Amino acid sequence: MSTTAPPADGNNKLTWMLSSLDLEGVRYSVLISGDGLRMAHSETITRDAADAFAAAVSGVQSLGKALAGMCGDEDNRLRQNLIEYDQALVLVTAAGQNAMLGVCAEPTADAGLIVHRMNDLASRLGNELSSQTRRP
Amino acid sequence: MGSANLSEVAYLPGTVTRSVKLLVAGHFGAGKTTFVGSVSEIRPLRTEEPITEASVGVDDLAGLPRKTSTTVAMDFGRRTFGGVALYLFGTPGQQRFLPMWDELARGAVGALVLVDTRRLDHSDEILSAVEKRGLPYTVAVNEFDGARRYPAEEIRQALDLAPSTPLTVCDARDQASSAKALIVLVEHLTSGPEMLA
Repeated sequence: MSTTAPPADGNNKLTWMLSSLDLEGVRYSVLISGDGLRMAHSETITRDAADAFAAAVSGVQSLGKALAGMCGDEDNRLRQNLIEYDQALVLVTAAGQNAMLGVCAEPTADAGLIVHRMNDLASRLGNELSSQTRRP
Repeated sequence: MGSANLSEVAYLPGTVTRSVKLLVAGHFGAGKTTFVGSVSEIRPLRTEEPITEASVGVDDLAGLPRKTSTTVAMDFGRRTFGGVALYLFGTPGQQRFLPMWDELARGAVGALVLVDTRRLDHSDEILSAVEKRGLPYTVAVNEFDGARRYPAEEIRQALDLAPSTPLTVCDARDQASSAKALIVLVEHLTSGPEMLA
């Protein structure tokens, strides 16, 4: 039972990893565990806002996975979620085991470039970006 | 194959004349996903993700030695009783997902709140989230193996339930028992002033 240790990301040590996503039009980026917890966030978002973003993004990604079986076979893996709003773009990419990157950008941002950098970061840092499963 | 999935769908019988949206709520680890899975007549939609080390100190796994995954968006299932189709939307249990309830709860006419007597205190934020949205509800104690059984009156007191709020017990793993808990909710909804008119 590991219920007393503080969250590993208490002081946002992993922020440097997200610096390659500091692109024009990117508002903030957050590294998120599969179960909806913020593991790191860019300095352009507050910790509280990043926590809320993390929980919501994990839901989006998981619903995307649930949809996979309805638009493909069992090998149909989710690569990316893209949500376009009037006032923002939200991009989500799987990053390692049980983790994902979420980016919020201006609606006019270069989504292709951002996605490219997200994929790049995810594959370069796959191991470090993973969140280990808990052993009860 | 997508079409293979569709062929598994149990289509609604022609006798169904109305449909009702219900929430299945409860604290982390109360058994919501299991409940929806047991009671649903269609293959449930699940959004379960492995519990990770990032949740240490946030999600309390004490007393849940076999819990390895958690719902992060919703569960969805359907159960038909006679002419009524119940559309069941299971919520995630943790506080960080509470803001998403607004969308999940839209159009719901009532909620079943599952509780585990070993962590009754975790139900407070769930009950207030349900009450805040004005949803009539019933409470079902999910009787886990090895959990101590308490008299209903003690549980009512601990949860500070109104006398008019039905309290029932169930085993979320059991189809019939879960269906019974749902029926208690439906009866409560049809008897109260908030009638399913």
